[in-house]
Amino acid sequence: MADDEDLTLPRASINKMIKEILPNIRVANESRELILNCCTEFIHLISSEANDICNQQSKKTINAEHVLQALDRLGFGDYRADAEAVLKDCKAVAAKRRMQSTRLENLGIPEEELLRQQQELFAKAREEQAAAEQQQWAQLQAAAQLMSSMQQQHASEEGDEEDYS
Amino acid sequence: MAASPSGNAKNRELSLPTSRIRTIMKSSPNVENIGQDSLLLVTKATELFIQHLSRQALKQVEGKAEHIDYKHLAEVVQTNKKLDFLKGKYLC
Repeated sequence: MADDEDLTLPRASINKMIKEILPNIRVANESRELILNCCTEFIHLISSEANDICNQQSKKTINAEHVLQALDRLGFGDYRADAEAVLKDCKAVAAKRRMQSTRLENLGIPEEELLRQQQELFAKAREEQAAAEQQQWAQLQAAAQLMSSMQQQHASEEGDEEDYS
Repeated sequence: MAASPSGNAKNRELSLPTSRIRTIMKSSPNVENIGQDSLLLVTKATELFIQHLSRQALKQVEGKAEHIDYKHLAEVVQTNKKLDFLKGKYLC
């Protein structure tokens, strides 16, 4: 099992982020390593502070407000806006997903009615399929007729070609 | 995907794995229960922190060097009051 000290963020993620900020600059490995370790320290810093705030409020679970206050207290209040934006977005995405999965249950339509609607839809689909197949058959017939008339015409022309050999 | 770090869409996605961040948070003494919201906030804050360090390091080398060394980051930590918590941990 890894020691506490070995518990760091994945190097690949860090490297990717650094690359996005500094695309044209070479960053020495030791520097990346340092940034990696600083992140772990940062997380501990925020967690401890948020935890203290949480305890002060006699709460059992660290919530968003605790973290935001911790950021303020530690001089990282400028991170608030972006952090809150992400939270809002994630919540919106999650809420949308929940809504989509329960939409059918929430419609308030009784099961028999839903079944009836389903049968109707199937019947309609069968009709449309039959109509499409019929149209396809008609097209095939027309194409076959065209082909055979073309062949006949070609056969009558063949007779003339022999004079050119 | 937009390369600009300040683009709106990019700001709202998370690049760091929340599971790993939760593990690190829980390895802090006394920390017990972490709400999902707090986890997201800490993750985003950490990303902003990385961006902050990187930009500060860039300022150290602008016009002077072509690459960022350990010493440039050390200088960033020395000169930034809110990075005092990093002193004595990994830096001499």
